[in-house]
Amino acid sequence: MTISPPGLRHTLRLEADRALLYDRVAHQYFPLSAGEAFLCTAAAEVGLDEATRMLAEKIGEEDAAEFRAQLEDEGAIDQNGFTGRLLEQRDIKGAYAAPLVCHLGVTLACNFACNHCYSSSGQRAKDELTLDDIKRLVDQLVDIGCMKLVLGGGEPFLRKELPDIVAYADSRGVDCFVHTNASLVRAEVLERLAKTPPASLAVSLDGPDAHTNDRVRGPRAFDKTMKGLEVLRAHWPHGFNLSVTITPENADLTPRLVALAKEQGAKVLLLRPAYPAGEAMKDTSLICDRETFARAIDLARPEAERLGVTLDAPHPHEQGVPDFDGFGCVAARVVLGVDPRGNVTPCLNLPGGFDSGNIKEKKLSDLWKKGRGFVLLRAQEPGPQCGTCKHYETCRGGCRVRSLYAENGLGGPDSWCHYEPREDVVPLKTPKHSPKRTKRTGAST
Amino acid sequence: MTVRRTGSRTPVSTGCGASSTRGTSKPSPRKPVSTGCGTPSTGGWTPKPKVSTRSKELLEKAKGKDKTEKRTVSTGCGTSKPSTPSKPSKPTRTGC
Ligand code: SF4
Ligand code: SF4
Repeated sequence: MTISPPGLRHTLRLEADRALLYDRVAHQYFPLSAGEAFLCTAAAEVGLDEATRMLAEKIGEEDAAEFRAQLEDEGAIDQNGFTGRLLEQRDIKGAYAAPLVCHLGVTLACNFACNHCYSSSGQRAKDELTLDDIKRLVDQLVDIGCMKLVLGGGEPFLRKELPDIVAYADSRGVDCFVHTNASLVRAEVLERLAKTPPASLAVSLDGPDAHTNDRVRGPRAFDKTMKGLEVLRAHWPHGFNLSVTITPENADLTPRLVALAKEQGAKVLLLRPAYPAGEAMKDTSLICDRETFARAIDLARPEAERLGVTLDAPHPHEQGVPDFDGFGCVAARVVLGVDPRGNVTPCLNLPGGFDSGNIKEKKLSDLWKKGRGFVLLRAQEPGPQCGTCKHYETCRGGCRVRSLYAENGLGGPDSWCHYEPREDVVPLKTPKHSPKRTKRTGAST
Repeated sequence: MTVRRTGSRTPVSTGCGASSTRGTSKPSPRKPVSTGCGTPSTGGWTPKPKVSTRSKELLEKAKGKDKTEKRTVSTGCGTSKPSTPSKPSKPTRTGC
């Protein structure tokens, strides 16, 4: 893979208590140890050999040499120092100094009408972000070291400038992850997109056959997506993933979805639960509870192993509780969302009450630091159940969307909670974590 | 992640931030002691290179390899790649 332009492979973000290295080859952030981060910064100041010698004095020659070899191997350092971009950032309590991922809805236009669509897409909005607005957003992402941009919608391929968006982001060192229903992919647009291929193309599909899929995604959706996959196989050498939203309707069909992924040549099969958001709030029977999602994965796994299909499906039992480096839910701590009009929210699944401002008017970094919804989520205090739970430090109440839906408030618990009382407290007798099927009152904002 | 050998990669400058965000090494305030004839230096005296405060802080915190493990940072849903990294140092948790 060519990283173009050269020099944009690595971004090193230095915060007060951590160092994160983004690597465009892996499309991942890696926490660096203090010793590794020291080599990156000091090599530019005193030369790599002297920096290694200083580190060896502190941690021993063998370990210092290993740190150096690893970084050299990754191309992150050379004799001149750190080869990428280095950003020093001030910490924010309970969150990264800047988001690691930005989810952007590129349009509200969609040719499908999925019953669980979180953004309730359909018609293009008049005041959607222009290409220039999106370029300015990308520039801001670069400035703050947010190197992952997820492009969804609506249907991103309904936006003619999609290849321009990806190309611009790529030219600035930002990796794009495109989510599509694939029904509109054509050889010509793929040719344009292939000049700077996104880090991934994930194709949404909700059933192994037209009957199941189209009940959720609309008439003839299955056939259209299958045709799209055919085009991808013929004109897109970079591969694609299949992404399935698990609902009670398709949960038992995951072995067939695995087989379909194999047959269609998908590289990874992603399984994610339907959240109580957007259109799913109109038909709550689609919302996936924990046991349904667990069952879907349990059924998928043996088939995936048998067929050699890579599954990306976080098992709610094994994961125990969400674990995002101690941050629990990633909204406002690791990720942010920007809707097609430019409204910024901690998570695109959250209700509108969390919108914190518009990037046409405000700086993204200010919204991340001080936006109302962001501050609100970070300031949340645990409710009685979470406050006595031994997982609180890592879970922090779990998914805010599900907690609000279950009418448990921002203090949790998530309806998927795995409550275990701390040893020093009297256990709660009846942990409240079953989702209620009552009308949601929305955010307590 | 499989780390690629990139020996043929053109070295790039240390880039923005590397020099401007960290203090520069100050020349030593001491005056060299005159040692009389016979010992003139041809290149002037160079102070021992110093690292910035930031680097010093990092060095203070540095621990051996067994105490720190490099691992991926989970970034939540939506960013799975078409192919999984071949050397995940920790299973990627993407499930929000
Ligand atoms: S009670 Fe449940 S939601 Fe709250 S911290 Fe514990 S596991 Fe997480
Ligand atoms: S609110 Fe739920 S869906 Fe949104 S980021 Fe948090 S865990 Fe994920």
